Formats: sequence, structure tokens, C-alpha cells
Amino acid sequence: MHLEARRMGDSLIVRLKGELDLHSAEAFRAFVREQLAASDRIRNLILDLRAVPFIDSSGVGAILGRYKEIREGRAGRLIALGPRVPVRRVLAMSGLLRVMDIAETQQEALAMAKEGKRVP
Amino acid sequence: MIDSASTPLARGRVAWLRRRGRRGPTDGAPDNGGPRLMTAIHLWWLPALIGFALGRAAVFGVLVPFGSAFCVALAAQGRARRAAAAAMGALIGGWTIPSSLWASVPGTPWTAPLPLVGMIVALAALKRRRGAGLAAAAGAWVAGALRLGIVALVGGDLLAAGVTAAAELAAAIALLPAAGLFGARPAPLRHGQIVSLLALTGFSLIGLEGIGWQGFALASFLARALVLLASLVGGPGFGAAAGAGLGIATFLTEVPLAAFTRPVWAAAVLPAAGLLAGLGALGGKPGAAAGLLVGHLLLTPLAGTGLEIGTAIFECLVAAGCLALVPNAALRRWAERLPGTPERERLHREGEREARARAEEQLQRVAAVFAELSQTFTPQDGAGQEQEKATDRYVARVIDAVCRGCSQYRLCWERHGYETFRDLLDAAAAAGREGQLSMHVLPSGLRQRCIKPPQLAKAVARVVDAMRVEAYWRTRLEASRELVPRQLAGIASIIAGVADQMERIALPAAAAAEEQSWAPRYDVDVSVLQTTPDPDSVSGDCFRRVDLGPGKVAFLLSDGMGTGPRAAAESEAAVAMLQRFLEAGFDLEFAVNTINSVLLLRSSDETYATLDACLVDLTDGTVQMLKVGAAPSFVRRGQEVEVVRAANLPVGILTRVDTEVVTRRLEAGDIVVMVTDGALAACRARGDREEALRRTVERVDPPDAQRVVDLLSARLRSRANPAEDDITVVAFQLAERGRRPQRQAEPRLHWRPSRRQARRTVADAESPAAKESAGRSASQ
Repeated sequence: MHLEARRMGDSLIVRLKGELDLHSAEAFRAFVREQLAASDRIRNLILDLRAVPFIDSSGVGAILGRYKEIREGRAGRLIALGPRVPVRRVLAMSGLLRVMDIAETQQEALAMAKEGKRVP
Repeated sequence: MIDSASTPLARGRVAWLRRRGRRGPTDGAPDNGGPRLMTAIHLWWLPALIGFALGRAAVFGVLVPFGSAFCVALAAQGRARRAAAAAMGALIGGWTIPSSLWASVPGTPWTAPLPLVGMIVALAALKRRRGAGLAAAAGAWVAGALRLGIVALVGGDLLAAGVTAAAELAAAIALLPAAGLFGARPAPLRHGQIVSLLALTGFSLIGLEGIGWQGFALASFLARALVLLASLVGGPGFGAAAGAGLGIATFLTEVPLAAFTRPVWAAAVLPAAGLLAGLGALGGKPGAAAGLLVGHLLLTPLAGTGLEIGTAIFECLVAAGCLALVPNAALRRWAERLPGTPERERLHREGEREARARAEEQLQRVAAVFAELSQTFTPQDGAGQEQEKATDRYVARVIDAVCRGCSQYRLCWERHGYETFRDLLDAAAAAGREGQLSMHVLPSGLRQRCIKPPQLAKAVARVVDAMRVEAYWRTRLEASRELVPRQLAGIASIIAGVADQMERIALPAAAAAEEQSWAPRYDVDVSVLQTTPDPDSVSGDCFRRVDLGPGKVAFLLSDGMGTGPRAAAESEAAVAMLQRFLEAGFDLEFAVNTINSVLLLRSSDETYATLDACLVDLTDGTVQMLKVGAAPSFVRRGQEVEVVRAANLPVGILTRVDTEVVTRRLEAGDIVVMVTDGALAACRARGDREEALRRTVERVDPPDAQRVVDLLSARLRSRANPAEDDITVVAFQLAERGRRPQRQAEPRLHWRPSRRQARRTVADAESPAAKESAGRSASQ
């Protein structure tokens, strides 16, 4: 899996490329942790899932961990950017869509983050 | 019959004694004066009376074993004073045996003091820390040996003396439970105590034989009164038992074996009369009395003369009259001490209810304590003040680093103090935004006033960076401090929830019995498939079948996040907790919410587990399904396959779990298939995996749980790429009870165990604990 991070204001945008599964979940977890630890000003996490074809339960678990970190440590918001239909179905099935928002474009994701509405 | 300390009169006396600051009736030495006399009377009158009756009780006019047996039993139970009183009574009783029997009872009257000897021996044995049984045996054995010696000395039937000695020993052991009731606090009676009491009463009645007036026999009257009493307090069973016991006692009294008419009639009529009186007791005292009379009248053909019948009827009427005087409250109190009576059941239920209420109250108190502690540990909201302090610290550090000692200090901080302060805040914001700061991006006012802009820019950047690190660690510290109140609040909420459920989980005995009266209509046939991607690792999925009493079974499935031992530990912990809650009688939703609260209390370890629970009622085929973050299930009813899904998060993420219990009514032949998401992932190459699984379940014809699993197993084996996640498929099918071979004792495992698990299984099988745990984890 290929991972890239970019900071925009108080949002961290993480772009994922490849399957988020048992093999890549740990790398994703470590990468995002490192990025978040670099700055305490980051409040929102935007996961760019446009290039992710599949997520399994380990991937869901890794996203859940980031959700907890963002919610508890930073009172921020978790946003999924452009997930494909199969991925969207997994997110819905695992209940993640109850705690994270979906944006179709980066501008929309940043606008959501700017609203600053806290997730439950 | 029981210790008179339990009677209201005695309790009143005890209260009177206590009001005067003196001790109540115990076996210990009383204090002084008048109360001492009253206490002494209270201690000895009943044992003395019984001892008197037993001392003169002669079985068939030959054997007199009961006096010493009773004294020995009392002494062996540690009732020394009562035993002494009984021994005195037995001594007098032994001397008052009718003179007509002196010739037939061996050793009379020289053997009369033997109860005293037996008592002393038993007390001595007890003092040497022997058990009650051994002390009683020692006392009876010595008394019996002395009896033989006396008879050998004074002359008499040695065989009869030997039989008496043996009967003494047996009776002492038999009377031990009844002797233990003297001086004991009123408590529900056990069956052994009831039988022993009945024997004591019967033996006493033998001793009262011959006491009467104008044809009115005291023993006969008491036998009828006691049968009536037993019928009233215990119903037909107790009435018949008392009648049988006392009838046999009456049978043992008479000497001339040829004239058995009256004892035989009494032995036959009393059980029947007791039974009928017990049935009549449903109509109260008049009904019981009528039952007693009818019993006597029905068996008149067995009776001797009309006079005997008339006497018996008269005795019945007198007994009924006496019983009519006994208050109903007293009868209820006695009934409460007998096993199996409605009064005892009611008392038991009331006791349970009170205990539950007390436990609930106690739990609520504990919950309140934790809530209070949580409040105490909650950090006060001082975010605004903290921000102010941080600003002050920032400015002070910049001043210390650059401005202190500067020739322009007065210009910047006295004449333009506010502007400098505002410009420094802007500079900090810029440094925070960009991560660094050059002198060119300093606010223009500051650039104009400051004579050392490069140093200032560096100092601002350095201080902002240092404070950012400090803030980060402060936040971490506060987060960990907040963990304590959060955990305390969580514990408080769990305890309060358990307290709320206390009333619900403990069904009244009657309701539980009613529930159990519905026999299960269905059996359930289970097939399980479990695979792991790594043959050297354990499955991260956990499945367990839990039998929840008659007619209820639960299937619990959990998928730990990821694979391997850590995932296995997570899923097993979740399933084990859910199992415990369900076995304790909590409902599914409460159990899942509590597990969620418990998992929330843990550290922030990223380990989660899904929960998939099916609760099957085998009496009517109802299935309750609850999913928390779990993959969909498939319910096949007839030819239709329904997908049951719930889009919610696993437990341990949010403070409240959004659960919904889905209920379906199944018939025989219907199948429920539960899967973990590994099974769904294994179908991903075929498009809509959920639909693919649904079609697989639909295709099996005729519907059969094992074939569903076989088909899925074949499909997974045929895949080109091996599974990457743990896979568990559980299929269970309802079947009419007894219509097909029952296979649910052991779920069928289509499990490809890993090498490590196989090795562990072999090792476990050789360990002693293996058998014990095999039953619990048969489905694993």
C-alpha cells in the first residue's frame, strides 16, 4: 500500500493507494500515528480512499483506531474522501458511517472539516 | 414439642427478662433470683416431661430403651441442662412403670438410673471433642452394657436386655436430630429432623399408655390431635405420615399379642384419617376435623367394639375442639418451618425478594460511590485560564530571551506595550502556521520598533515550538488523567445497570416453574466450519454454543480484529463475557451494552471484536438475533432466504452501542447461517459477496445445515487464492423434537486446525484438566 500525507490547516489528508487489509493495516496505523504526533494542531483526519479497492476487518479496525484518536485526543472529525462502492459498503456494514462522513471531493471534505462539527 | 423458646409466650418472657437486664433462657447459668428460677423451669419442663414419658415407654411391655436414648441424644448435642432434666424425668418414669410390667421388663426398677449414666458418659465424650454421633454411641453403649450387667446381677431375661441395649443405641442415633432442636433458634426443618421428631413423639406416646380417665386415653387423644395438627400445617402428606408413625407407636404398646384388635385398628385408621384430614384441611379447621372423623368411620369394620369406636370418635371431637383453639397465625408459623408447604414457599419467595431488594440497594449505593469518585477525579474546566497562562508564559519567555536588557525596552513595553503584545501574538500565530519564522514575516510594527528582529524571530519560533511540545504532552497527560474519572463513571454505570436488572433476572419460583413447564418442541442441529489463513496460528474467530436451561440455546460468534492470538483473545473474551451474562439471566441488549462499557474502560489498545448472537427458544422456534459490527446472517425459511444485517460499530468504540434485536419465528427445517467477514471476503472475486452467500444458502435442497456448510467449504477449497482472514461459518437448523437423529450434542466441525492448535489439542488431551474443559469448549 502506498501512503501520502498532506496538512491543510487543522486537517490532515492521508491518501491511500491499494488494499487496506491485514497486511497493510499496520503500516497505515503507524503512518497516521506518526503524522498526527508531529503536530497537536491537527484536529481533523481526511482519508482519501479513492484509490482503495478493498477494505477488510483489519482495515476497519485501523480506521476505528484513528477515529478514537481523533475524537478523544483532538475532538476532531473523521472524513472519508470518495470511497468506491465496495469500500463504501464495507464502511456502512461495519457501522463506520455512523461516526465518519463521506465527501466526494477534497474541497467538500475540507469544507466539512472547517464546519468543525464534532462527531459523536 | 420444639423448644419452648420459640413460642410467643417464651419470647415474651425472654423480653421481660431482658428488660430487667438479665439473661434469657440458655443452657448457661442464669444470673440470680426469680428469673433464675423461671429460666430453670423454662429449661427443664419440656425435656423432663418427655423424659418421663420415654422412661416408662415399654415396647410390647418388655423393652424400655427410649429414656436413656433421649438423654444421651440431648447430652451428645451439648444440651447438658436439658439432658439432666430429661434424665430426672426418665428416672421417675422408670420407677412409675406399671407394676404389671415389672416382671416382664428386665432389671426394673434397678435400671431406671441408666439414663443419667448414659448422659454423663455422652457429655464426657463430647468434652473430649468427640462428634455428636460418637458421643451418643458411647453413652448408649455404656448404658446398654450396664443394663446387661444389672440384669445379670438381679436376674432377668438377658436376651431382652441385650435387645434393649441395641435398641437404645439405635434410638439414640435416631433421636439426635430432634434433640438438636432443643434450645436452637427457630429455623426451617429438614426432612431428617421431621422424621426424628415424629419418632420422638411416637416413642413418647408409648410412654403415656395407660394414663387416662374413665376410658379416655391420653395417648390416644394426643395421637389424634397430633395427626390433625400435622394435617392442618402440612397437608395430606404430612397427615398420612404422622398417622402412620403414631399408628405404629400405638401398635407397639400392647402386651398381649392375641388381642391386637385395638392397636391394629389404630395403626390402620390413623394414616387414613391423617390423609383425609389433610385433604379436608383445604377447607380449614372444620374440613380437617371432618376428614379425621370420616377416616375413622370408614375403617369401623376393623374396629373392636362399639365402645372403642365411640371412644375414638369422642377423642377425635376433643382433639378437633382443642385444635380449634390454636390460633391460625401459630399454625402458619409452624407450616413455614415444614418443607414443601405453601407457607414455606411464600416465606422463601419473600426472603428471596428481600435479599434481591437489599442487593439491589447495595449495588445502587456502590454505583453512587463510584459516580461520586468519578466527579471527584474529573478535572475542572479551566481551558480559558490555561490559555491565558500559556500566553503569559510565551510573552515572558520572549522578553527574557530578547527584550530584557535591550535599550528599546521602555519604548516597546511601556510606550507601545499593547501593540508589542498584539504583534508578538501575531508572530506566534505565524510561527505556528508555518512551522518557522523569518524576520521578514514579523508584523510591521514590531519590525519598526525592534532593533534585533532576527533574534526576535528566532526566539519566537523557538518558544512557540517548545510550547507546542509542552502542550502536546500536557494534552496527553490530561487525557490520561481524564481516563480515571471516565473509568469510574463507566463502572458506576455498569453497577447501576446490573442493579436495575436484579428484579428482572430473578424470576419468582412460580414463574420459573411455569416457564419450565413448556416442553421444548424443537431440537437444533449445528454445523460449523472454521479455517485460518496461517496453519501455524490460532483462529481469531470464536464460536460457542451455550445451553441456557431447558428449551433455550444461544449461538455466540465473535470476530476479533485481525488474526492470530491477539484477535483470538479479543473474540474469546467478548464471547465469554456474553455467555456469563446470558447464563446469569440478563437479556441480550443489556449484556451487549455492559460488555461495551467494560471494553470502553480498557486502555486505548486498538483491539476490537464483533458480536453476533442468536438466542433460540426451542419451545416455539423464536430466534432473537443481535449484531454488533458483525457480518450479515442468512435466515432460510422454506425456500426464502432473508439477509439480516446491522450497520453498527463493534463493541468498545462508542459509549452507547446502537443495538437492535431482530426476532424471527422459525419452523422445523428452517436454517440460520452466521458468518464472520472472512467468509464474505473469500467470495469477493464473485462480485456481490453477500448475494453470493445468500444464493448458496438458497441453493441447498432439501435444506440441511450440514449441506450448507459442506457447500461453502467446497467453495472455499476451490478458490485459487487461499483465504486471508479467519473464516467461521455456523449453520443451525431446527428439527421437530424426536423426528430426526439428534445431533446437537456436539457441533460438527469442518475445521482445518492449524498445526499449533493440533499440537495444543494433543497436549491438552493428555492433561488432567482436559476433560473438565472439554465440555465447555466442545464447540471451539
